[in-house]
Amino acid sequence: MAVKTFTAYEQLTSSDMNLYAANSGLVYVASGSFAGATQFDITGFSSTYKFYRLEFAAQRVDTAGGCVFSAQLYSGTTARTTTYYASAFFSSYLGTTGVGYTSNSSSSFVAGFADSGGYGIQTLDIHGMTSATFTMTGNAWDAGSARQYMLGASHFVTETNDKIRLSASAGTVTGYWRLYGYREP
Amino acid sequence: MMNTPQIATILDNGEYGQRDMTAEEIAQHEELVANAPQIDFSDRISD
Repeated sequence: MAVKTFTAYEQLTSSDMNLYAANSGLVYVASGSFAGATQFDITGFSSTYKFYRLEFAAQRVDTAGGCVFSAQLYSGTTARTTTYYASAFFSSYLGTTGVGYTSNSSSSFVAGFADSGGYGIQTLDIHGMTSATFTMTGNAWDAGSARQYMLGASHFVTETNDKIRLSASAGTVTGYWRLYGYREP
Repeated sequence: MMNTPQIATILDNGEYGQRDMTAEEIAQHEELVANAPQIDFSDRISD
């Protein structure tokens, strides 16, 4: 594994800084913002990283109410429209808990939520965009219903994808996303 | 007149931005919405 312990008075070369410091840990890959949009794409995936971390925040802006983000994988302009399996568990500010939803070989998976009452935040780890079957696991906070979701999804087809498209199930949304890659050994 | 729905994506100039959705994208979106999981928003805190 590419690690190095620097010693006192050791010269810091650009090569060492680029390899061990500048691109260590979570590495910024791509970002985007949207305003009053119905759909938005998460782009920037490649074979550079096996693991990705996606952070996005969104708020519904057309009217009072909530929505869910249905997501599909894409390779270029080709959408993957089958064989998604997903589920989520939640707890809420009222003390209620339960299964939020399930998807059994569906045409999409859920990637998060948005509400007019405030920004919801999603923290998602992603594997297998280009090298294996896609899997996602993470957390989402539904600001409108004050629900904490643990969610996950798989797409049981081994293929290369380079984009995730998220569709708001109702209304329009405003927000932004950041994509990072976990540094490879 | 209703505005055309918008999508944020990589535009023709290679930059990430927002544009009108195409007819195909709108149709795909409507299909996704129709098949979206039914989420319980009954605990929703009113605005």
